[in-house]
Amino acid sequence: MKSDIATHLKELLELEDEEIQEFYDAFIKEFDKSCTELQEDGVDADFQKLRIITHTMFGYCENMGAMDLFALAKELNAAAKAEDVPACQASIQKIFQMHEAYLAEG
Amino acid sequence: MSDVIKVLAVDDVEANLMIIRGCLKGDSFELVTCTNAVDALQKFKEQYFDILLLDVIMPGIDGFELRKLIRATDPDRPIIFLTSMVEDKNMTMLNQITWDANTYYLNKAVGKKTLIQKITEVVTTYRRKLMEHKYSDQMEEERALAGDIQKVLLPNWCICNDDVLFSAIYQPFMHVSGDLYEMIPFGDSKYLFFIGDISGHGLSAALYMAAVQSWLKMSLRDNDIKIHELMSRLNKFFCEDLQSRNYMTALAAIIDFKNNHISMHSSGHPGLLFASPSKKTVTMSDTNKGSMPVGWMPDAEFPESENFDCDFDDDTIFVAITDGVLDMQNEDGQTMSEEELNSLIQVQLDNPNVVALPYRVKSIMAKMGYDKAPDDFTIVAFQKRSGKKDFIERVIQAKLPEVDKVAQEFSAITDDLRLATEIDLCIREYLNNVVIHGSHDKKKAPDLIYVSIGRENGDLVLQGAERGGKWDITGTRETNDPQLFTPEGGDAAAPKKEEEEENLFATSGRGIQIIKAITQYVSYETNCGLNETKFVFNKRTPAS
Repeated sequence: MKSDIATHLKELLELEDEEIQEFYDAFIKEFDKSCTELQEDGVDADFQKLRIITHTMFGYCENMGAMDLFALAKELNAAAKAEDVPACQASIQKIFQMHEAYLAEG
Repeated sequence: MSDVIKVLAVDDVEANLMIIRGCLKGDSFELVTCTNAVDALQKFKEQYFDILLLDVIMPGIDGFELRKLIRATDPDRPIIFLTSMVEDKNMTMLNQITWDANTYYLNKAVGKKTLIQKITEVVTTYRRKLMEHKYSDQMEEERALAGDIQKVLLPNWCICNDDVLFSAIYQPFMHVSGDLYEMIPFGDSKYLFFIGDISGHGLSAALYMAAVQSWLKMSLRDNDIKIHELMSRLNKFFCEDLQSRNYMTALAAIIDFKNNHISMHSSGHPGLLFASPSKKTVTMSDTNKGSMPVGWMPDAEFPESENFDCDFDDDTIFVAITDGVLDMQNEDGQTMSEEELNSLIQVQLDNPNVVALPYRVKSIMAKMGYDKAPDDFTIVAFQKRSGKKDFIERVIQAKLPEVDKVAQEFSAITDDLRLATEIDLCIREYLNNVVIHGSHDKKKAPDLIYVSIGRENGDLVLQGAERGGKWDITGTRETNDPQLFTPEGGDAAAPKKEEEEENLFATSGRGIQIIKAITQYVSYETNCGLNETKFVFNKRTPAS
């Protein structure tokens, strides 16, 4: 969660505490965008689009050190690859819940 | 090139660009970021970047497409793909990234230290390669310039003075050459002829060549010098003043064109060939005589007994070569024997032409397949000036005022006014074509033009040779093969005086029609850059 991201960024970029929030906000912005896209494409079960969305998520999650979200994105990517609609929907729900949790942390 | 590394980073996810900004902040990097390929291409065109950091999957033009567009104009600029390889179990993406030799890969969450290390390493290698290319290009330019300067040191490729007609083909192996030749007059129709070949190639051989060339010019103050003494002094200069690590084979001769006598000395150089057009023979100077190459030993002897002396006929054509001629190889790596070369020169005696001989020989060698040069190539031919009656030959600068002089002089060869006018027209048309054609393109401009007029088997013949661009005598073709045309309406009336004047500087189209009318035929051929043109005038019935 937020503390994991802070630890990762301090280690990766040698950032000071006051600099972390700016990066966290950028992460949340990308996460919001991914959720919006998942909302649209998850309903239609467009597997190709889901794979592209998850690939983008891999990138910023790895960069920011959000490894819990990275794991969920990986799960969704595998479900999309298997064209397993129920599994996709389940993964998307988990991602939405995690989104709520991240937003709550501010 | 400054030490700061200029980086262009492209990623559609702003958070990822933030991380890159975080990694590369500080004085060592100047970072420009773009969130799409179109903007990135624009930035790439506008500014210099040492390296590009690209994301693979982007909406619109993806990272691979962007690389393709960049590679269309820049095959070497380093690119690092920053991507996550979670999905790439079959390494399809990795293979796509690495097919290009100047593209590298790093995982997105690679860490600041690794990213900086990789960028620095890749850019350092790229900058070193750039410097090496720049240095190599500069060296190539300097070698070409040195080659041009070297050519200035040599005599003109064609010389025609009171005593001798001289021609040379000289082709350096690597812009510059260790070959040299000279024909220096030192009074009373006596000349020093010199041909030498410095060991090795490249700039050091060229510098030795220049030093020897200057030494030769300065050393001919003593008119009574004997040829072995000259070689001995040259050896001393080579060993002591030049502190030589190189050596030189050389053939030097003092030629007395008044008494038809030659005294020569060879220092390990191929012999001088004596080609006789009247006897149809080619013989070589005594190769058992001579000394060791110049520069081998400071105290080497060059005794008078090793000089080769003989008399020669008026029509003898002397041919000298450097080793590079016999080193020319065919596809199988075979070289030409001395006997084969002699027979090539013998063939030339059927239609002897000193000016063209070196070029014709080289051209036939190429046709026989001996066209791969591992060394500098020089053939020199010279002959005592012909004392033939009704024969004029000149070497002129390729300039329009020279054309005027030659036209006047050559047309005075006959008392027949009409023929004189035809000669005047023909020579003006020919020379104007060569000079003006060359002046449009400096690379095609000839330096000198050899022209002669005289009788051959009862026909009046005008001949020219120059090293400009090919000019098309027919106005329609350009070929290496000899061109011939016979006149159409050969009995057409000669142009009136006013028309003649109008046509003096006519375009080739109109001029050619006139030449067709006044000549039996015109032939044109090119051999190794030497264009030979021959005009045979119509036979005329003497006025009763």
